[in-house]
Amino acid sequence: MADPAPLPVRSYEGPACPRCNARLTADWIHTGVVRCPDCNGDFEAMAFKPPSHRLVVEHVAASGPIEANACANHAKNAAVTACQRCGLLICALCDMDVGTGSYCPACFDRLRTENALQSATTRYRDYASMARVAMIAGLFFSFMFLGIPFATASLFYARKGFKQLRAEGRSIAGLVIVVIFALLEFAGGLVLIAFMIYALAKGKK
Amino acid sequence: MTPSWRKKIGRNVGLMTREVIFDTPDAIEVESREGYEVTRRRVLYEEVLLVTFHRTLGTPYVVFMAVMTSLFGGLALIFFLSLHEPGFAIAFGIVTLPLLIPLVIRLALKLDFVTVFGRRSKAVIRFPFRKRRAREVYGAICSRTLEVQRAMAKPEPAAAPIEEPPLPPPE
Repeated sequence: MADPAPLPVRSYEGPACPRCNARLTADWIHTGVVRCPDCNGDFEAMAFKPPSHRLVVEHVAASGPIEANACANHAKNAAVTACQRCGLLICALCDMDVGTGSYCPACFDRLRTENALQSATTRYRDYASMARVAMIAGLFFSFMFLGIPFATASLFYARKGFKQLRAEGRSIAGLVIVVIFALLEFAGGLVLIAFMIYALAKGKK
Repeated sequence: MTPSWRKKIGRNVGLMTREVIFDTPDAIEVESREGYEVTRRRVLYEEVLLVTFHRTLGTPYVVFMAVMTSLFGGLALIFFLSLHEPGFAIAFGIVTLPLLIPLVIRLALKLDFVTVFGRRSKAVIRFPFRKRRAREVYGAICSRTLEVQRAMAKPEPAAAPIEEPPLPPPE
């Protein structure tokens, strides 16, 4: 049996009609009301011409042999800074500055792989949502004595969620309410078990 | 993680998408949720090519809701008028109401979309209710983009001339 064909992945190809997603050529990208050539739908548009980045890379020869050190990766380029992790001298081309300092490409790759650079993180787990869902699941299944494990899971995720929210500078009020409910759920589970034990013991007597 | 300042400006919640859109000083930030995994991408103001605004009905949604409303509403009418069963008619009427209300709201208000196309990515913000807010966001994104791109286009001050190092004395 032949392998199934891979699913087509639609990559972003630039401005398109917001109604039908048909790609817009340069002639159709202008400010004002635009009528899509494909679907005939109208939309208001504001077009921009972003200027291209001009990176100034100084050569060692231009800077003078006394003032400039050569970049570790590009011998002809003058170094502008040093990598914060390994101390290597790097030029403007190699300078990977993501708001938390300058890194050389190799260190930047390593830190990004290890998720050590917060501002370069593009994928993460939402622990606050996980805590909320575990707490709600615990409320639903508390009659089956599952309140305690779900509340424990909720508190565990809430702990991670607090760290995450603080790092992002977001409000923790919602998570505090989740923790209060999880604690009540935990206590309720304990009371339920104690009551069952008591009832069983009383029944035996 | 974004330690810098950001403000939520809207959402894009559909059948297959759950996105929250934030405004940051240098970009529009889009957080897509797949279960508990959050993927973040940015449309930088310095790379914005086109910002669009349009209003649409959302035909698939309207058709689906209309079919469901007519199905349950029809059953309620049949029970009430032909079979003279007011109990069943009320039950079906109660089921119809949560379908009918969103349908009427959608027909009356429609959906507003603000789409931001960058060089490498795009952001879509959906406004089902707050029409004025949609206009405000559209205007704010346009003006911020203009501001950032104008600042980028400003010519940089000329660098001081480099002094030639003195030549070694002739032998």
